[in-house]
Amino acid sequence: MSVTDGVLEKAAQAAFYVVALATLLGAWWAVSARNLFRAALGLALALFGVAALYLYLEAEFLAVVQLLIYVGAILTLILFGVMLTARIADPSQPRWNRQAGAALGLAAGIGLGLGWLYLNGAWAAPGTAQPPVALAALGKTLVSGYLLPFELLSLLLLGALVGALVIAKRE
Amino acid sequence: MIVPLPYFLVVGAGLFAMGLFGALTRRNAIGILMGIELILNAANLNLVAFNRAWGTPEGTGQVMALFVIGIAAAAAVVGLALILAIFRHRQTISADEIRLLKG
Amino acid sequence: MTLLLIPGLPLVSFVILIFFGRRLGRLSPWVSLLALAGSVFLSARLFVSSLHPFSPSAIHFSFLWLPLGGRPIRLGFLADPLSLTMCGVVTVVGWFIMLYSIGYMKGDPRFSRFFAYLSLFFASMLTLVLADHLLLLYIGWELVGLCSYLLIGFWFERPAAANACKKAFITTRIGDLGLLLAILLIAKTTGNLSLMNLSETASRLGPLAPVAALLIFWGAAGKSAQIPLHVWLPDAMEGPTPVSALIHAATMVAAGVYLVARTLPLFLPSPDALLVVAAVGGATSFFAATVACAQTDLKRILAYSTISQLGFMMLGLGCGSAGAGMFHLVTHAWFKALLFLGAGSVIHALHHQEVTRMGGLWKAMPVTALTFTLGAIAMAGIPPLSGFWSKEEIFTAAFGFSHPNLPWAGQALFGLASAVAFLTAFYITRAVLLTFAGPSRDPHAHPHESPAVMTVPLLVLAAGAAGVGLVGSPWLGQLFQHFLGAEAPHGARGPQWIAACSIAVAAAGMGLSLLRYGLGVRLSPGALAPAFSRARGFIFEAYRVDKFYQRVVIDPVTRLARAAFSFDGRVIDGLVNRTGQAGLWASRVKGWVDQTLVDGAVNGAAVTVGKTGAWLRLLQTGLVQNYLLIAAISTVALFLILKGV
Repeated sequence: MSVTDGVLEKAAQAAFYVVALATLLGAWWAVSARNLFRAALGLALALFGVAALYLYLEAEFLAVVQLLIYVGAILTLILFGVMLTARIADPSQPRWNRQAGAALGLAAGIGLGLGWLYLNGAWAAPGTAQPPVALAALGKTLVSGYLLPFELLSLLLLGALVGALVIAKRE
Repeated sequence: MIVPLPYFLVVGAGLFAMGLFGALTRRNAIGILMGIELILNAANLNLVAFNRAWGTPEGTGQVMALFVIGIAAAAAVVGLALILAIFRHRQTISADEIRLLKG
Repeated sequence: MTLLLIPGLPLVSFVILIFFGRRLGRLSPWVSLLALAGSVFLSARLFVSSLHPFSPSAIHFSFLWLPLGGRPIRLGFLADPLSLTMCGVVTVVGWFIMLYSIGYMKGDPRFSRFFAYLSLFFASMLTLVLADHLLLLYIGWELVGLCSYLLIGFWFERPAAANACKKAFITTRIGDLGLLLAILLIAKTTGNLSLMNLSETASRLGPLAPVAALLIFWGAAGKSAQIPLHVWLPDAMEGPTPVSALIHAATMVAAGVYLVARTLPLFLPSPDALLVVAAVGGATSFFAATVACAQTDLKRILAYSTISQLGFMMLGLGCGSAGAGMFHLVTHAWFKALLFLGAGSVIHALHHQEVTRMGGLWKAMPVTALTFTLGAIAMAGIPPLSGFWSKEEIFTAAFGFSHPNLPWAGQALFGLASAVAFLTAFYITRAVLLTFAGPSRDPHAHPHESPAVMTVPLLVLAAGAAGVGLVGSPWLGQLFQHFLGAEAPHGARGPQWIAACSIAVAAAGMGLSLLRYGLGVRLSPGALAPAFSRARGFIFEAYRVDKFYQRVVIDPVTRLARAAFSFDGRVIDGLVNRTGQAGLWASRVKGWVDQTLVDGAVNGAAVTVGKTGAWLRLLQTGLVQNYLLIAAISTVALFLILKGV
């Protein structure tokens, strides 16, 4: 391992903290912003962050899919939804409903509990890291062992497409 | 791995907690949907991270994550269509005012 | 694979009809007929191949269903002589009944739905029959129960039908509990639910074998309407007549008999278990035969007759002879289906079922009258028609029955069987005479013969009812008993006088009936007449068993339910259920956390209490997010409990 490699690794590790923080910050905006449009932008930041984390995990394909589907499709859809429904930024409306206190306690409890478990449990990877998943191998897995769920998923998407058309169409 | 596994898991736990909080408390139906998307992303992050650390070269964890993304897309499509339909019908998408489940 | 197709084809037809039945309209019966014809053909092919002397006697096909660790559950189908016999009866008799239903159900608003249900019934019945595994058999068992429920209540607009289907479902469910317990017992003790090597299972069960056997018999008694679970079958006649013929006479009710015949190796080691089966069967048979003598509703006569004949089969099985019981099952399926369809033809023409208002129908409906009479003679047991041969088998088996401690058991059972045969001949002759002979007792009736789609099945079934007994007769060397082979150790012929005795009691019963209902001779001497008529009233109400159940079982249960209901209403009020209690508990925990941790810093105890109250009020709000929150809290709590924190 050369010196430059070591430096690059340190830089990458530092950048991880930035990415992780940005992801969590985006998520917090997504659930807390009074203005739904801003919340959607926060969600976008979180989704980008997750995609970047996928890159850290050497799952490049997943990162691209995340950008294409989540950021490209779902987020666009949500933005459309936000804009098509009125009262998106009425500051007189409370952001959260009345169970916010209980929910905050529960969510914080779960988050902190899980974090404690992760940091104190024997989760660390084995000394020799696994080789990254090759794209070809991923494709093969998808259409061999998981062919039936794969086809079922396409059926589900078709059903969702038709169903959404039927539900949302004007009478 | 440059960054050890638990770090990813902690980020996942944070995403999950926030998503849960959003889904439980948002007064706007679209906000609830966003919370659910965050929860699904947290699960995906865990799947991919575990696959990287402990998994096999076949990438079963990544396949699962792909399925989750697909199902999330379907859920978002149907959910938003429902929200639009309800909005058109009742002029509100505030979850406080939608009480179809009340017996 | 062929085996999979036999129940599979009707299932496909069910799926087609349930989704496209409305569009298919009048074509729908042909879909199910075609599918069932496929099953008939496939089972016939298996049947022929199993007759071949060099082929293995059983064909078996199984697949892995649940890979449960070290104890995987395989499900499969088994075609051995026993199941093929049953399969043949179900498909062939069923096909003709289905053909007949086209005429009978014509013009019904739910025409195609009827055939969808029938197809589902065939799929489940054939699954039950061909199952190689008690679990699969149980699945089929429950499914036929469901079909029976759907079909009895087919005209659910009529309150009587709606009540009858509930009664049938609940009563048979009490029986199903026995079968389920038997399955659990066998699974727990031996871990092997296969139906293939039952004698080995029996020896592994050891002293528990009779317990398992009697639990199975309990289940069989529910399905086959044996005392004390017989009450549902007469009411089940509220369904359309083809359903009564198919499900409640020929096939489904015989499933209990089939089950006992199938699991007979579990009964054989214990003479006591066999005696229980024989005694319950005999008692049911006698009891129902007496009731049938007093009924005036044509279908109820046949219903009690069915109970009686099922008891007769059980009697044969209880004497340790699967051959005798199964042979009677086969012949009974033919002649009872014929009798029911004949009754249906009469009801179709007259639009009522009271024999006291019939009479003289043979002129208007010659085909129905002829075939019905043929079926009656077959059932009465006059040679060479089918009923004679199978009854004689049961007589022989009863006479040969031996119990180590009760040396006279065989003779007693034989006497009981003779009495039942006498009564059977009596009441069925009475039914024939009241319906078809003499002058018409209803001047307004304009009966007419039924269409060909109904009379052709009658003729075919009549031919079967006449001839099918020959396969088990000594004239053809008791082919049937040899075909069942290993399952029927009682191949030996009884003494000649048993046959003579059987003919004599049948003839006596028919003669007495002819005297009373044909020639109008009053049989009860004048002084005894009031006692006679009181007894008849008691018997007419089927010994008031229904009323007894109403008072002893149903009323207390209803009262208990009312008490529970008012407790619910008064004590738990609006907050109803366990979710509420879980929420209360969770909120107390949260309140405690709030109080101890936050204490005066934020709100203080008063606010917490108020908040708890408000929060409690939020339960049952109809807000999805509330429910989600409670679900999430419960999940976390469950996780903590399971981790033992």
